[in-house]
Amino acid sequence: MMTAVNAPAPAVAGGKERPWIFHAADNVWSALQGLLPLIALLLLWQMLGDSRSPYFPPPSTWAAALIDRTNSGDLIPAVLVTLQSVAAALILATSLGVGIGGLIGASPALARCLGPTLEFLRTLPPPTIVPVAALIIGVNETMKLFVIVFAALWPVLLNTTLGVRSLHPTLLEAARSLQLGVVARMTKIFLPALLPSILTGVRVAAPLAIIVSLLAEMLTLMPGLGALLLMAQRNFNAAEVFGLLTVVGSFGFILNAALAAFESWALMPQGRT
Amino acid sequence: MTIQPAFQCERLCIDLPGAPGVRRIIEDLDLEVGRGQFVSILGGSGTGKTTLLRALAGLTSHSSGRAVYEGREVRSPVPGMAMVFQDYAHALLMWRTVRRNVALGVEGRLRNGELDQKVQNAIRMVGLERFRDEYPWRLSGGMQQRVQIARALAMEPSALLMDEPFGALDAMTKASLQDQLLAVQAETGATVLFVTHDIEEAIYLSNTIILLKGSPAHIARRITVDLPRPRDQIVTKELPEYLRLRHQLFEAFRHEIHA
Repeated sequence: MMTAVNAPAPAVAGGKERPWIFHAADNVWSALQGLLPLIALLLLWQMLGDSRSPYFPPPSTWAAALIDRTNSGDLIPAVLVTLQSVAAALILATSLGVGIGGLIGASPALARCLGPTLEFLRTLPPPTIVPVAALIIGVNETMKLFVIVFAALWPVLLNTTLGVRSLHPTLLEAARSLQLGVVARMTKIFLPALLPSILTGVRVAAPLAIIVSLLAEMLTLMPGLGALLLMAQRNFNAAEVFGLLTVVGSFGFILNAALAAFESWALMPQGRT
Repeated sequence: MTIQPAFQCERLCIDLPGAPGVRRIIEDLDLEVGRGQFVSILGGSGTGKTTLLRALAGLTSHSSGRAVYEGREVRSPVPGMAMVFQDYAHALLMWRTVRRNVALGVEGRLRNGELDQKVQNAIRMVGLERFRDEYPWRLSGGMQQRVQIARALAMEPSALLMDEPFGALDAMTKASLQDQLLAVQAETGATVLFVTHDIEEAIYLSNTIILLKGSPAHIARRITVDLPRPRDQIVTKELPEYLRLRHQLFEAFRHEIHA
């Protein structure tokens, strides 16, 4: 049985599991440790950099540029818009991916029918979808959502399909012999059994969603971090470009950390974290 | 006194798909199992013991003949029956605690108080009270198999179908689970169909042993075990009748053992 070794955990009853929050804290700490080289590099840049350089302004100027953007009221709404698109698209892509992937995994006939079509769609690079979607749907939030979902769908779909196919036959038979209804089988047995596969898919899909969201914003100049970045570049504001890159990087980093924490919480009962 | 049959097979034939084509596993099998009986299906590896059990459980369909449980033709899992699989690690839900695993088969159908009481009772019968709120993956193999048995018991089945349930356990755990199973059967009066390849286990547990042989399989022999109950791991296994049956059955499998 697991006991707290180095974390100063509050006295939990003997033999009890450490709360998941400590696992999350561990994850954050190990992630921060991984950031140390990057921080060292930035410090070095700050010390050796020339604050008048038009191409490589030191980090302190990025901060100044970001504060300017915040004060002008552009940065926070842009971050929120991008976050909203990414979150909504991930939720949609996960629901669609689990639904379609589950059906394809369960039915070999359906897999044969849909396989080639899905394979074709999957290999289309998401940037090439943007013009098509813009033509058909128009340049609006729906189009952006569509394009992000289109990119983020596949990892969830494929992982769910594989997950369904690798469900153990004994588990399926146990479900049958317990005579559970269709809904009970889904919610009590199949979804929890597939959760690890689904979450792996979501973890792969999240960075894709961010990439495509920024891309769509840059290509269409719809509000968001991508548009802000492109405008800064067009204004030759190198400090702001670097500053926004930091924001984008942190954005992905935090989203990934949040998903990791959710995963370790959700899979705790399965003993897989 | 006539004993009403719980299970009945008439000219039962089962075919299963294989690589070279369809293979007949069981041919023209006639069988009758009385209510409250403990019947072991014994046979060498690959004779079709599990196939027969699965057909009676409604998990495998038969090609011709009849498989009947309590007067009803079995085509899919039937209420009143509960199955225990050999592979407990995959039959249990690892994300549910022992208590919630045991509740799985009954939780939709009962009110909370009644549910709790049934689950508690099933957990008590297999002696896992201390581990009610533990996850199965934290328990030993023998305990996990007890969880699966408790899950079947919570459904208060009139028939318990067990597919080599102790096959993956060590000798000591096996002996203790055998005794527990006998106690449970004495308490519930359930009919038990028990697939095993362990001759001594079959004698120790059963009223009747069905010997499957051949390919396709048929019933080679039907042996009545007249050993007193309650049975005891030491005393019962030293009785002359036990030793006679053991001799007889090993003799029957001699060519398979030496093959």
